[in-house]
Amino acid sequence: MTEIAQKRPFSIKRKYVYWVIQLMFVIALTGFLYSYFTNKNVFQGVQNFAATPTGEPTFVKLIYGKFGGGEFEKPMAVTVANERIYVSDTNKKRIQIFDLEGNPIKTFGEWGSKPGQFQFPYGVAGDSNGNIFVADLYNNSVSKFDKDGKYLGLFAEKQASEKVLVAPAGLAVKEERVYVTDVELNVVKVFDLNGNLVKQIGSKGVKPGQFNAPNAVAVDGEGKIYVTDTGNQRVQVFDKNGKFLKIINGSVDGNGQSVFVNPRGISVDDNGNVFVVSNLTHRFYVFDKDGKQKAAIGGYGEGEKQFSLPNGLFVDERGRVYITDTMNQRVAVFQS
Amino acid sequence: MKSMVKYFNKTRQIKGGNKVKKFSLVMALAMAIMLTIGVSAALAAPGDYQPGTQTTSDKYTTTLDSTMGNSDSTSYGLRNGLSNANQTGTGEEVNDGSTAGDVIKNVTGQRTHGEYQNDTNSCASCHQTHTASGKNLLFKNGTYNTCTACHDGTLGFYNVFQGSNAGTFGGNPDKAVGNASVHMATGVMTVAAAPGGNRTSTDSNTWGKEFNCASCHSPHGSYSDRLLHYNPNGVGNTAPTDATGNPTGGKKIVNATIAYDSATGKYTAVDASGNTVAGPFLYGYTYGKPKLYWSQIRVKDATGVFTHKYSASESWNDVLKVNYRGGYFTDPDGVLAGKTAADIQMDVAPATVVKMNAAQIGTTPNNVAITSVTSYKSGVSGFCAACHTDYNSTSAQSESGTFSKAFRHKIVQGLKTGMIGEEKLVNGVATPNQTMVCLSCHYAHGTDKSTMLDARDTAVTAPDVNASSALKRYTNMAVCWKCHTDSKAEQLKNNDSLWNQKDAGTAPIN
Repeated sequence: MTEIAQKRPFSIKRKYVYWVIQLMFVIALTGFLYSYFTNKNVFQGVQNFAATPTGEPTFVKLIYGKFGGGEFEKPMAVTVANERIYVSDTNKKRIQIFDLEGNPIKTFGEWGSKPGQFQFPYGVAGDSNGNIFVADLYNNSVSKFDKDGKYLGLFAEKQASEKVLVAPAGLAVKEERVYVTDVELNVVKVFDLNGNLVKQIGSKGVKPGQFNAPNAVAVDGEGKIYVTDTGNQRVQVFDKNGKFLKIINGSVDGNGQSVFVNPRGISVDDNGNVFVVSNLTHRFYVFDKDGKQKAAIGGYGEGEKQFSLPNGLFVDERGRVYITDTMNQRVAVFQS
Repeated sequence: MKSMVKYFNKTRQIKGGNKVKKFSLVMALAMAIMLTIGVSAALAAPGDYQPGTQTTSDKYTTTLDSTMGNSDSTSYGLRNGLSNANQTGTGEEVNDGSTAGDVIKNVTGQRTHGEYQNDTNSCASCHQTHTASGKNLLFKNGTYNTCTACHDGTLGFYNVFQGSNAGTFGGNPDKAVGNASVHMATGVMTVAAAPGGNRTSTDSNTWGKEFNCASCHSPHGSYSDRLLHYNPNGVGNTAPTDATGNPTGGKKIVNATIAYDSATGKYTAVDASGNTVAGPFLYGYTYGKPKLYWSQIRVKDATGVFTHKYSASESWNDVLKVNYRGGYFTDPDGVLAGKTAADIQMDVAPATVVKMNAAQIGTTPNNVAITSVTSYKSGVSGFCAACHTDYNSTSAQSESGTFSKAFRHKIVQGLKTGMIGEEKLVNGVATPNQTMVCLSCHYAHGTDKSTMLDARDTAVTAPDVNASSALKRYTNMAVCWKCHTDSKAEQLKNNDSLWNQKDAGTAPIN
């Protein structure tokens, strides 16, 4: 037998072949089980690389919170600050903090209308000093917390009953300014970091420069202010002084049919690309700095590039796009 | 053993055998590699594995069936694989027919729900014609989620999670904090769960139907304010007894006789007590030839039998002019020539109408009035009784109930000042809040500490102590004490020392 084997250069022992075959089955099975139980598509990376058009954000991951009490119930808004991800879980009346990889760090907040408590935590944003601001739609106020969730007081008022804000929804912080939308007053209020009102934009109505339930706001590097005018189904752009510039709604010049149905979260990246969520059509849009549509990602479902009533959106410095997917109870992360 | 070795040696020595073996080994290896890659890719590719009727591969081939898209919340429902919105294939990002107007997609000044006008554009607020995700072409499968996508306060009005005359869906259920109770409209239970209803029925058209926002509200319009449903729990088109004679809770009037007014040419239905049945009638029908209407007119044929068929393809409702809203029909084409009123009979499916008073509290940015209900005029207890059938009692002196018997609080009676109720003529003047209704004591949506009052109409500081706060307007048994301090009070209820702390009633002693 040995003699015969030596005569053949490519010989291989039969048992090794069986071993190799068995090994491959085990690998296949392991891969399948991993994919099945973690609900991750192990080939997505390759597919994305091959199939994603240039410039379209690619899917990265889903953040579900921590099992055993740390799950989301209705995540409405998200921001990144202090190298952490902050998510407002409206139904759980709390904010969840994650590291940038999506590992849960802690949560803060509880149900109530007393200082530091939440009834409808919505917009969330952080400043460069490590402070976190949370808008509460029902408690009529924006509260300030340190980066770990320690309550530091109301932001714009001494007491919520002062009604500086009535139904604060969206928040953004840029260059020492805090921008707050109010869906009942139908205005955007601009404050300094100490909560002093600096400027107010808009009024109730349907004309350019007027709002119908503005749900979110973002500010770009030039100081231009982007407001999701939810009820009027459009995004309005203002210069840094609050002068109306233009409408973005997916049509060529902003005057045609809107692609949005119930538009919500908005953010602008360093290149001036504008990201907007269209809640009732379960997708988000990307527009370039001229308002031209670059991408539309989503559709209804539970898959990776699918949403169920998405709401909040934030783009961080690394170009990562975070979207709260309310009814799928998760945060989707894309890379732009 | 020896012979086996011999055998193997023999086999290996077959001419050309080595090549065959080598080939088959390489072949087996190649197939294993292909299998490894193939299986992994095939199983992993779609990336989502939802339970239920679908498999990972039918994402693109799902067929629609009536059971899909029914369930609510985060259910795994219909997924048709199409990514959006009103158009199939090209131009999928465009929501057809919209203007740059309102999210609610309607023309400025028009309502989202109902009162549709000739140039309406309201449909696309909730429906997608060709690419819907849920049953009935809803954007989303799940009535509760679709409604609350806007009615959670984020559009600035009609927030069902904050207190109103309907109470709130947003209370804190923690027994120590708010002890909230709500009309659980998320779709997790069926209508049969209603106390006082038919707890055992599974009829998928009535008691067995999922309970959600659309069980009480009709988003396309109704005969009532608050878009209250015109046919709650199917009471209008359900006969009072089923085929086996058991009660159903239905309000349909079967085999009503007909009265004819020759002056106006109107035929009207008369119930068993001889009273004219007022409209509006429901105009739904069962498909078939001819259609069988819920409010069906029948006429005696040549053999003396009442039939709904005018011809093989037409029903009598098709050839007569039926005014469903007005509750009568006429015969402009003379198809009833030679027939008298006695030759005609009719099933009447009455529409449910609740009348109420509302005050304007604001205006939406696109100029639609925002109103709040201040009191009721008529019909509201009957509306509740569509499901809570047995609780709509008119006397506490004897047992009552359709599905179960018990002594129950009488609903229709006088009311304390400051409570919500129906109006009544007082000295010839329609005066609001005079007669008790279900909603005098209960909220329609839900309650918790934040919306409850005590017997002196003071906001409470502690949650209701009972297992459930039962959607009450008044905390604990203050809901009783609110009225029963002096009304027909033969028994002494409090002594002097407590009276000062617990007074209530029309003339409180302070």
